[in-house]
Amino acid sequence: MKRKVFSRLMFSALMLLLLTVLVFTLSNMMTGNEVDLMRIENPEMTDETYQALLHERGLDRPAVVRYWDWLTSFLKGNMGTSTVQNRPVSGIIATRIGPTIILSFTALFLAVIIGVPLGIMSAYRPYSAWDNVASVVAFIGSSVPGFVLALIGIYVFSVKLQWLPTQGMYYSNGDHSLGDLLVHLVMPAILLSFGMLGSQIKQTRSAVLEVMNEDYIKTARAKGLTEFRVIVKHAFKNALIPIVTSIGLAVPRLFGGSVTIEKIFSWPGMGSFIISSINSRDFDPIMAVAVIICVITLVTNVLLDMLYVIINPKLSKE
Amino acid sequence: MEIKKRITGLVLALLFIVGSISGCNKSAVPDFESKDHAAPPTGSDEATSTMEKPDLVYALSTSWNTLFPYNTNNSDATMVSNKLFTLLTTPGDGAPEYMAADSVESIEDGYAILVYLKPACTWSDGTPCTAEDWIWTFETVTDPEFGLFNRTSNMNVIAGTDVSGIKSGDEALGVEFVDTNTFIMRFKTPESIDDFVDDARQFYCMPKHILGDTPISEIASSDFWYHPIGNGPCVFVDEPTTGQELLLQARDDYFLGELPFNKLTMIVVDKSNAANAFLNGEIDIFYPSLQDSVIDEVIGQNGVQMNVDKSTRTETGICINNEAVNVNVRKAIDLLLDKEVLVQIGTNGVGRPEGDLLNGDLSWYLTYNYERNVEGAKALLEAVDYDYNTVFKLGCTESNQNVAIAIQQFLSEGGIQIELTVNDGTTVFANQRSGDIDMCIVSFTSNYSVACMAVMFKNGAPMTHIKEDKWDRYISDINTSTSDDERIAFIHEYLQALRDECPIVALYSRPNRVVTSSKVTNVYSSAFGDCCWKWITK
Repeated sequence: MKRKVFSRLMFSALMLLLLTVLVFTLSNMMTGNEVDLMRIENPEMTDETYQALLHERGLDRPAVVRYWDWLTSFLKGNMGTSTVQNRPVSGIIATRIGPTIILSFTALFLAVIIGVPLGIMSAYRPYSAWDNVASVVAFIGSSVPGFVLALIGIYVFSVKLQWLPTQGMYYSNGDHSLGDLLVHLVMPAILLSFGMLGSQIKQTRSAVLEVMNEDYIKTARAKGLTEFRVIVKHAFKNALIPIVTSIGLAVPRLFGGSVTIEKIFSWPGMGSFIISSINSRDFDPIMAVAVIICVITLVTNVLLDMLYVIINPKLSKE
Repeated sequence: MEIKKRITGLVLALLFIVGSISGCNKSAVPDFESKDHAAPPTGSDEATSTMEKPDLVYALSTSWNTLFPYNTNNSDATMVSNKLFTLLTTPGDGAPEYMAADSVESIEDGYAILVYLKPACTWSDGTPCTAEDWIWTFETVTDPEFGLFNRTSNMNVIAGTDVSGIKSGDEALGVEFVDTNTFIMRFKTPESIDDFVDDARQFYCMPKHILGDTPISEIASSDFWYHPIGNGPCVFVDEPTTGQELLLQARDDYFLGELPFNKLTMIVVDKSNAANAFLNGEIDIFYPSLQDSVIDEVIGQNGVQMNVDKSTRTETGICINNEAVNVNVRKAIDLLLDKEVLVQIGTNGVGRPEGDLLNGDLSWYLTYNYERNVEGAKALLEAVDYDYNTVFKLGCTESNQNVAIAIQQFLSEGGIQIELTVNDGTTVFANQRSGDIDMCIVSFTSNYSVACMAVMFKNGAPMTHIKEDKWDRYISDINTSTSDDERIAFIHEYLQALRDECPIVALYSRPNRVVTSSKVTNVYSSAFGDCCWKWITK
């Protein structure tokens, strides 16, 4: 077991390294850099000044050298400096990561507590009214883009009904209380969870449906167990692995999806930060955010592997 | 038993969630009657008394990158720094607007100005802001050790600096302390006072009494900029999220006037959601502006109102690589465009066609009679034996995409083929500079200065690839003219040359319209900043 965990961690580290190479290469392939952006503000900038600025910021060095510098610095715990903001990246991320975690994990929580029961009920009574409702929710969640749902949600719940705020994490003149946070969190979290909800319902339904015809379910029913116990104790437990897998795979998707939702709702998280960093060609923040998302994905995968063993101890022997 | 426990637990958990959300809803959703969230108009127009000053929420469309005024990278960031720092001067409504400066006197045949400062100007810690601070700022910002930032090239007008605004050579820096409230600024070439002010160079002052002992190379990255003390209208309170939320307190001793609000919160709101935020009473001001079509829909709802800036307009034109596109082709492009249609597409009809990219409200300005002339364009192309197989590349951002498509159609009527590429602004301008595209659509704020756009078509301008000095000479002639008649004659000559050679094809201009809630009016935000002490609040 320890060996397997160790090899999994090694593999994850390799994946992380490859991803940093990929992100660095892609971000360097973007046309323009931060000095080009300065030129927009300073049309009088001469080519000599332009070259001097490139040199001062190390942008005239070969990409391999710059990558190596970034990597060695990052391994020492230095995420670099945002040249656009003139601040350490770690300091900026420290203020941004909290809101993203709150939003993403609330959305995940909502998707699980709504999606899993709906999926189970659909599987328990296929083609019933519950199943139809779940199918419609799954269809909307999977097919309608998040930004469309966001704009509809804002129009209905904020503009027309005036129940919820349209943007931000707290009221500007508010007291930054928990209630203030929750009322701002409701709409973005629900809308963010919607995309995941569809796949969660479908995944749970098919997993539970598959085990419902197994012999041990018939045996459990023959023993006279209540339907609730049959479903929860026998069917759901045995269908857990694909359900947990889909939840685990949704975590990185949630972080990715939150970029759009964060932008529309002006949620002060990493999504809006990475968009402004990309627009301003601020490379260190781009790399740092990419690494963080990658680490979250890899850690989730490792945790999933460990969770599989807990759910099904037989796997540890395999 | 176990099942009962689980059910009870589940029900309690759900009750907790529902209770939290609904309970918070009551207290957290703004109460339009009792709170300061853009309350609907009450019908009272009474002047704001000290006791009743409202708190305002100022929304920007993009994040600000810094509170350090010499490194702001867009006009949104300028709006923020202008709340904390006061400019020396700014373009006004047809006449120079003096801010920290009390008046400016031209001396040494236009090669220098004598700047008289307002003695009442103080830093927010109460220390007077004097000529000593300004001189130290100029010397520091132009010091090679200081580094190059987005606004440091503003200094390049001062004698003794290079084109980047850095002190160069043996020549002394052209600033001189006269007394506590007076200093001299010397130029490389003569500058009229009007053009110096209208040129909108953003000269900010830094507090010498706080930063004076910091090594010059460390000033720009100093922690001071995380919680700056400025000489502007507001005092820094907190920045809970960098570049996203800033809390400011109005100064009660601001030297340019009493501020009509108490607290000012600056936040970022996505442009697609700004109209909703107004209608929901969450914001009071939005910069830069909503889309023209959206403005017309929201005005009047929930007290939302519009303010039109009288001193600036936003001009839109096609910036052309003059080396790649012949003068006749440039003029043909100008003649082929149906600018009335472009005005409809680009501004929802609120703009007007333009013949050049200078502010059309200049009183002595040559009247521009717009006329589409397809045959005239074809004749121009025939005259240079134009190769109709040529395909030019036109770059634009997403916001100008529809205008670009219309341009493509109009030009095809004259036989000019163009291929469109849509990218973000940085990519478009980088491609234009490198010559990867031949032309791009640009929008910018113009003011009353005849020189405000000259930078785009002077010798060496990377956007237009122009390699001749005559455009610089026109500006120099205008600035060194000795009489009004001579100046007007030079300006006419200059404008005629712009028409004849079309270094840039003008499309249209639109008024700068600022949308505000019912709580505040008289808000005129241009790229040069706004004067928040002039706002009128209810």
